[in-house]
Amino acid sequence: MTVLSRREILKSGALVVAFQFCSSFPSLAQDAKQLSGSLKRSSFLDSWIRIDAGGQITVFTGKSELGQGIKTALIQVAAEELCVTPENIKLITSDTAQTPNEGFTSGSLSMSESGTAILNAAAQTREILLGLAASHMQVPADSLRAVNGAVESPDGRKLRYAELVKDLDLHVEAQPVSKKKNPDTYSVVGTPLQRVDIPGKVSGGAAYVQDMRLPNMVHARVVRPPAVGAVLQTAVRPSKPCRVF
Amino acid sequence: MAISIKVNGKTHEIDADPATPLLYILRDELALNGAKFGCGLGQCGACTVHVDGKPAFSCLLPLAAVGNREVTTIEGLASNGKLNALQQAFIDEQAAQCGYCIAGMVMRAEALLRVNPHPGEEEIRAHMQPNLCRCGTHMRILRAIKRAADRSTEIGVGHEERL
Ligand code: FES
Ligand code: FES
Repeated sequence: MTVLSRREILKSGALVVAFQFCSSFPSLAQDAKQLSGSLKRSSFLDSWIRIDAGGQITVFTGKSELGQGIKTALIQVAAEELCVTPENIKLITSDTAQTPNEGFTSGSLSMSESGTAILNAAAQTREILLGLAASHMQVPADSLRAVNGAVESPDGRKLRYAELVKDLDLHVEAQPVSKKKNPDTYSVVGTPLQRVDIPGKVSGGAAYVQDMRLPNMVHARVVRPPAVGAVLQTAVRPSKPCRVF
Repeated sequence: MAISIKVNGKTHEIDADPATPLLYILRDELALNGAKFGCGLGQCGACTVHVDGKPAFSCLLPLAAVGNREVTTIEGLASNGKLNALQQAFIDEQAAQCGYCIAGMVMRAEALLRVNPHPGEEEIRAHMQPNLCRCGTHMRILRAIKRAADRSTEIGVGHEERL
């Protein structure tokens, strides 16, 4: 590309941004020696995905929904690689008792860190399910397809994920390479989906940290003096619990 | 001494300092999430509720000043679990980024549509002026309000009858 001087850029008023395309983008091509995204920090598949006896799929992320729409986007990623519809995914976000620790939600990193981890964990979970179905059906795993929450064989046999979970162990470390879908075949990722957090936000649902109410929680308020150097003379203790710091 | 207020059709006896802002009562005593604390100073509109159908900053309104007037929060708009036309229009237009301003936006716009079911663009803009959106969702918010207003034109009935 032509190199513009700073003066020329200012003159033309144009903003020129140069990208250097690497041959292997970390989120797109697997580095064989390394786990992708936040799988580096939490490498067990069941840190990210669990399927209960009834076949309910729960996906976990350590990133928070801040209005950037990641709940919806992460559900799409998981649904795509698990071959289910988005409504079949329950997503738990940044709950310190349940989800992987992914540090801050900032820097536009949620999709590259959490999204990549979930993409790979979901692809590997699907492959494990295909393997289980293969041994049940006594056919090679690569002859099977995952479709809408079930594994189908070419001869028309079908096993739902729920029927496979009793043999499913997701407490295994992720592999460095996943058998991911070809993006040309995507049916969920890349198609518009309404944000899952908006209905709650237009109806008074709990959506923010301020909406958490814990047992015996009290509300504190900093009361500042009206003048520099003023000292508190008395404080009236209200009938409700009150803490003075 | 307990003070009685009516919120979303239900009467509550509240034991609190009469000077307590209505917003604190709604959130902390009645556990309603809709009205939000943004500035606490009447400058952002995140706390907007209806008091006798008129939009009010609940952060500025002392509990004792509510009197017999009916308070409605966004929790009171749905009927039988079904969102009203304006709430649905906000979903249809995906009119929220973080969403923190949205309950206040919906309440202010709802107050307009109740007295003027088919406002024009200028009327909407002038009416919505007290409410701020930090994320910059304004254009979608305007589209959502217009959508709800246009829907009432199509059906040819007043806003409330559409619920
Ligand atoms: S919180 Fe009431 S106007 Fe900002
Ligand atoms: S959507 Fe974030 S403040 Fe309006």
